[in-house]
Amino acid sequence: MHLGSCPVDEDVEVVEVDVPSGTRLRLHEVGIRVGTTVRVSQRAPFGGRVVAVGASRLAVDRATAGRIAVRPLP
Amino acid sequence: MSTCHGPDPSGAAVTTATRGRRVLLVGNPNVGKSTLFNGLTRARQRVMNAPGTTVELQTGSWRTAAGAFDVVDLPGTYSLVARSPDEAVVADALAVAGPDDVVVVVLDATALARSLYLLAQVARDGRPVVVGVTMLDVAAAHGTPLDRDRLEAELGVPVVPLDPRGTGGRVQLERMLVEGGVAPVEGAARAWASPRPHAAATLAPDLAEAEALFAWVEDVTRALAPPTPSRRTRSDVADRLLLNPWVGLPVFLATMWALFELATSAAAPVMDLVGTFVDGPLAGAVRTVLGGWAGTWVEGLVVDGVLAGVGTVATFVPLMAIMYTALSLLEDSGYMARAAFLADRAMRSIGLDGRAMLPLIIGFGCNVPAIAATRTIPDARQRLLTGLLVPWTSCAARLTVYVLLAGAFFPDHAGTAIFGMYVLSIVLVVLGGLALRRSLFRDLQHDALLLVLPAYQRPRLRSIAASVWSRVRAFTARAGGIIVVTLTVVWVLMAVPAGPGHAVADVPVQQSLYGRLAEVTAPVFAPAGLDDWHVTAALATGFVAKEVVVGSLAQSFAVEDGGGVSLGENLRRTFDASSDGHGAAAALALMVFVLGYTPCLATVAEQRRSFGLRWTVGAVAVQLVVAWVLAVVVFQVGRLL
Repeated sequence: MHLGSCPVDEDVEVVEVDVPSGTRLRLHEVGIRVGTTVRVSQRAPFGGRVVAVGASRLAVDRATAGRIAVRPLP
Repeated sequence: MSTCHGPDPSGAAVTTATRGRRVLLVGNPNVGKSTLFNGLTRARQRVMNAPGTTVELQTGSWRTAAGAFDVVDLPGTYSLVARSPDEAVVADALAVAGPDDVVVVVLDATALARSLYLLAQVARDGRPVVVGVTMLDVAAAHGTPLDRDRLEAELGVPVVPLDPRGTGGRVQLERMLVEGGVAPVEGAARAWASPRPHAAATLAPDLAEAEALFAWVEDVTRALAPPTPSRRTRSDVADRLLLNPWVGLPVFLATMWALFELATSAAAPVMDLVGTFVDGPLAGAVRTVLGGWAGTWVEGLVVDGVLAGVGTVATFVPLMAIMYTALSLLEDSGYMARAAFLADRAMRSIGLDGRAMLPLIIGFGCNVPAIAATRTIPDARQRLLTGLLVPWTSCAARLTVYVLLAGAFFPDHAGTAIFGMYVLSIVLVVLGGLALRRSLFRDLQHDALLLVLPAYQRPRLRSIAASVWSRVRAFTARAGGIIVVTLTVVWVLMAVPAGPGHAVADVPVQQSLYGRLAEVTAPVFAPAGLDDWHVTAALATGFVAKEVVVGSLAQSFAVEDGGGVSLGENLRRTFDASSDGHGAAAALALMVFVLGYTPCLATVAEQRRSFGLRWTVGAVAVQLVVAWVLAVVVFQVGRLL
């Protein structure tokens, strides 16, 4: 399951971030790292996703959302 | 990293810009840094570019009991590992900061981990910093209040609570700067001194560094509060609507339409009012002051040259103020980031940033505020790329030329011809963008979209007013000077006779230096069927402003025939003569040329202010060449049909 396919408004844990290293660093910097709990808070037009990380909200495009693997929290 | 310069130029920018004790404001985007800056400096601000870059910086003077500080509002950044010229400016400014400079790192209580990461980067070399924290009220409202005492204990330095709207934090900030409560953040330096070996072994150096800092950030945040799952906020509820495919896109388009209307219909009456004032009462007053000089060339120079330039600048001031206010409202409210998100897909397909949509749409109203609107694009290279494309958006002033020519030459298909010009305008922007991406902008990466959406908030009017004021002032001073000087030169060329028989400032256009130059350059347009001095003279005035092209044509014909023949008839006769009987093809070529070449002097001045002389001259040259080639192609194809 990835951020593009996971249900809205459910807490999930990031298990893999499969993007080029520059993008990975920026994802890390804004809070999306393996092990963090995130939540898709909104599906946007053209496949984009708004991801809630704590109190902040990150907009990611469809391709990036599809490369961030997540699993449901136990 | 997509930077285009080394550390020196922009670093020097920040060091040489000011001489007093300096305060450098560093923080994530949307942290409230600029609001704090506006609160500290009030109206004592100026906008400048970091030399060697197109990155805009605001500097200002903060008057405290212990004297004035020069405050530099550095661009917002998430990291000192820069991936854009703006971020590089922050890294470079910190690298060259002197021992007397104070770095204030502004933390966001609602995104503490992100903020602490930047703090760790700033503090890791043992530099003394002042730590401020904003959004404490928002964090508390979210159910994640920040324990400031714990944070102070973890960081080992005082943490100043900053309410950018109030004055409480400022007093404490001032006291710390004066009394020297500034110390290195111990923990961050320690964290950096002992990077975790496993991270260093498996990751690229940047990532390994980052991992070490993240470990420290995690330790600090965990000590403050256990991680809590995020809750639905009011902003989430708003986004449910504003980012919804069915509601969000129409709202987005309506917002863009409103901006376009502001740049055209809403600004026009105010601009007219200012223009009427300058031409009427103000010109009258100046004539009275000139007294004995009235009726001489001195009056012409002052009133028709210098004052006309001042009038042009003055008419743009309300338009720029309106646009700056609208853009600041969109940014401050939090909607701008959503608009960029919504436009990203469409703009990405032509290699541009999502935020490029807004300046390009405003450009169809007026190119001048559109160039100014490029400053909402966070990456300086993307900003420059968009700024180079804006002149090809067909502004409302060019429409007057299309209407005249289409009405005279294609009376039955005028609408189609004009519509065609708008289609061509979009094609030019798209093809120009693709060509630039494959040539001068090959370094721009197709980065993933990763946009932090700030929480929606009520716009802070005082802060917006201060920033609009300083930006309008910068436009008036820097773009305005170029406009006044150029219009004065144009007046001189029109006033000086090219031969004997006429007095200075009393010469028909054709007999002036200006007319002679138009005659000499006219053959350049022969391949486009436009070898006629009326046309080149009108195009030259069109460089100043497209609104005057029609007037210039009308005037130059009126002088010759005393106004007995209609302008349309005159144009048909002239173009038929200059094009060997293919007047319609020549008219179409002229329309295409008017679309393609320099929109107006004010746009050039604004480009010069935003992007520097080299890019501006290059852009003007490329536009002229492209416009000429297109006009020639249109004419040559048209006369075969």
